[in-house]
Amino acid sequence: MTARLREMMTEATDAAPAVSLAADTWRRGRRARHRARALGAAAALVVVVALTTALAAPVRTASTGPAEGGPAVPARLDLPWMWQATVQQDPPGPAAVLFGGDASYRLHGADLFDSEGKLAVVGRGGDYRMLLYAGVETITAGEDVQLSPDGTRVAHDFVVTPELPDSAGGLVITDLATGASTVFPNPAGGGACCTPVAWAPDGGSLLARQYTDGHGAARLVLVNLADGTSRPITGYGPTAPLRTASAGAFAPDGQRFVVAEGTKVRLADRANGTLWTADLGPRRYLAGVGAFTPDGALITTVTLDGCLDDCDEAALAARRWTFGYLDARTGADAAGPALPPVTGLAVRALGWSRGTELVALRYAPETGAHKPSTDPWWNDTGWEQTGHVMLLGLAPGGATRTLLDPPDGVLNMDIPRDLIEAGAFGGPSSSASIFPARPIIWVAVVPLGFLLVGAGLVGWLTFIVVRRRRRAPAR
Amino acid sequence: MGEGEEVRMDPERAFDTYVAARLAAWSRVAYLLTGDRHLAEDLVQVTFERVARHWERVSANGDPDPYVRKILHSQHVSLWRRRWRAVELRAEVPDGRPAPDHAAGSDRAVMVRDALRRLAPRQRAVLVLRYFEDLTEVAAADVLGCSVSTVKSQTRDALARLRVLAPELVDLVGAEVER
Repeated sequence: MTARLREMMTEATDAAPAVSLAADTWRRGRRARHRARALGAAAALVVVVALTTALAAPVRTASTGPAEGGPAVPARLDLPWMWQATVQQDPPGPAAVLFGGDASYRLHGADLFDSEGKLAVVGRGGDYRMLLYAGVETITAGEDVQLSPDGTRVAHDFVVTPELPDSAGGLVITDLATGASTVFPNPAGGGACCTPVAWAPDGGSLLARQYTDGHGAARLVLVNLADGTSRPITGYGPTAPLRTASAGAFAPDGQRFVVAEGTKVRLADRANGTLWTADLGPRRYLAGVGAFTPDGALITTVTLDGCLDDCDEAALAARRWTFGYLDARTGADAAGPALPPVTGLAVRALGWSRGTELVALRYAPETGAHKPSTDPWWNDTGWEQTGHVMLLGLAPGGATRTLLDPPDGVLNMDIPRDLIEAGAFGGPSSSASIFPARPIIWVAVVPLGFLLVGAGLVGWLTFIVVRRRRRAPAR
Repeated sequence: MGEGEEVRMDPERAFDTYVAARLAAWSRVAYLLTGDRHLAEDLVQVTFERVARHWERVSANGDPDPYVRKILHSQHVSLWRRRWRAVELRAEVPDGRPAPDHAAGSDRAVMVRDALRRLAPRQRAVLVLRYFEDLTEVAAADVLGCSVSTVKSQTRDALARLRVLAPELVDLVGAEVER
C-alpha cells in the first residue's frame, strides 16, 4: 500500500500549482530576529534593574516626621535578614538606632550555624548591619551594649569578630565607621569585663560594671578611652539584685555621675568621689541613662504604682510609672517638669529632646510573664521579661507621642544621645537589604534552590503532559 | 547546491540559494499538508520567514532540511490552530499566479488531496512524513516532537480514517489500508 500511496501523493503534488515566495522574505525574517533580540535585551534589563533595586538597595521611604535633612531616627524599623552582614564585614557608619529582640532567625539565631545573640545597627544612611554575640541570646541594646553619644561607636564586653580571640577579656569598643574593635583589658585581671553602664557625654570615657571574681560580684569602674586606664569607683558595692535600667547616668557636664546601689543612689564626681547618697525606697528608681535634666540640676526618678511581687502578665502590663526628681546638689526631693505617667512593665529614660521632652522606652511584658515574689534574676527590662518596646516622647503638661514603634520581636533599643537632644525623630525609613550577606545566606539559598528546581520540574512535567494530551490522536 | 558552501557564503546569499533549490520541494509538502494552494503559499511563507530569522543556526550543520521540515510542520499545526483568523501573511501578491485548484491535476490527484484534507492535521502530517517524504517512524517522531508509538498510532488511525472518509480510495490503495 505504501508505495501506491506515495505514488498517488506524488501525482497529486505534481499536478499542484507552483508556490512562490515573497521577495522580501529574508528581510522580514531578519527584522523579526532584531525585534526579538531587542525585546529580550529590554526584558533582561528590566529584570536586572528590578532585582538590583529590590534586593540590593535599601528602600528609603519618605520622612514622616520633623527630620530636617540631617541624620534622624527612622520613623519605622525593619527586621534584619538572618544573613545580614556584620558591622565588621561592611561598617554602616554612625548609628541612628541599635536594637535587639527575639524575632526568630533575624534577631535570635542558633549558635550551630549562626549566633544566638544578635543586635542590629541601623546606620544613618539606612544600612542594617549586625553585631553578633554567640551564646548570649539575652543581650540587650542600650544596657549590655550601648551606643556612644554621637553614634559612632558601640561599647560591649565582647563581640564575635575575627580580630579578637574568644578569650579577650575587657571592655570592647567597636568603631562603626571601620568595624574595628579595641579591647580595654580588665584591670582586675581575668574573667569577663566591663559591661557598659553609661557613656560620658563627650564619649571620652564611660562607666562600666567590672566583675571581680567571675561570680557576679562587681564594682564600677570609670574607663578612660583615651589612655585605656580605668579607675574603680570608691565604695561601690551592690547589695541588691541589679536593675540594669537604673544602673547609672552621667550629668551633662560629664564630671558628675549618679549610680544605683540597691535602693540607694549615689552622686559622685570624677575629682572628689561621693557627694551625697539618697535612699529611694523599694518602689522608686533612677529613671535611666537620661536621668539628668538638660541643665544638670535635677535627676529624674520613676516610682512604681502597681504590682511589685507575684505579678502576672496583666498586672505587669498595668503597672503605672510616675516621674519625680532629686535635686542634683543635695539629693533631696525636688519639683520638676510634670511629665505624663507611663503604663507598662517598665520605663527607661534615654535623654531629653530639645531641652524639654523626655525620651523614654516603654517596655511591655512578654506573653505569659510572671514575676515571683523572690527572683534574683528578674529584671524589669530584661530580654526574657520583655514582650515589646516602644520609644515615647513625654512632654511636660501631659502629652505623650510615639517616636518609634518597632516591629514585633524587637525587645530593646538604644538611640544615640545627639539625635535625642536634637529631636531628630521620624526620619526616612529603609528596608534591610538582602546584600551584603554573611556566608550563612547559603543556609537559606540552598533549600530555596531545591524548592525552585522542584517547582521547575513540576512545571516541566505538566508542560510535557499537556503537550502529549494535545497531540493525542483524534478519535 | 553543495551543502558546505552555503555555510561559508554571505547568509542572505546562502538563504536565497537554498530557497531556489528547495522551494518547490517544500511547496509540495505544504500543499499536501494544507490541501489548498493559498494555504500552502502562506505556510511556506511563514516557514521561510522563520528560517531566515534563524538562518545561522539552521545552516550551522550544513543541511537546513531537518530544521526547515520541523518548522514547516510546527507552523502547519500552529496556523491550523489559529484558523487563519485575521492573519495577513503576505506583503504582496506574487506575480504569475498559477491557475485555480479545481483545474489542478487529474481526478485521482484531486481525490487524494480531498481525502487528505479530511484528516486531522496531525494525521495528515504523519502520512506525508512517512509515505511522501519517506521518513522512518523515528525521524517522523523527531519532526513532530512526539514518541514513535504516537507516530505508529497516528499512522494507523489516519489510514483507517481514510478508509472510512474516502472509501473511493480503497480501490486505489488496496486492502492494505485496512491493516
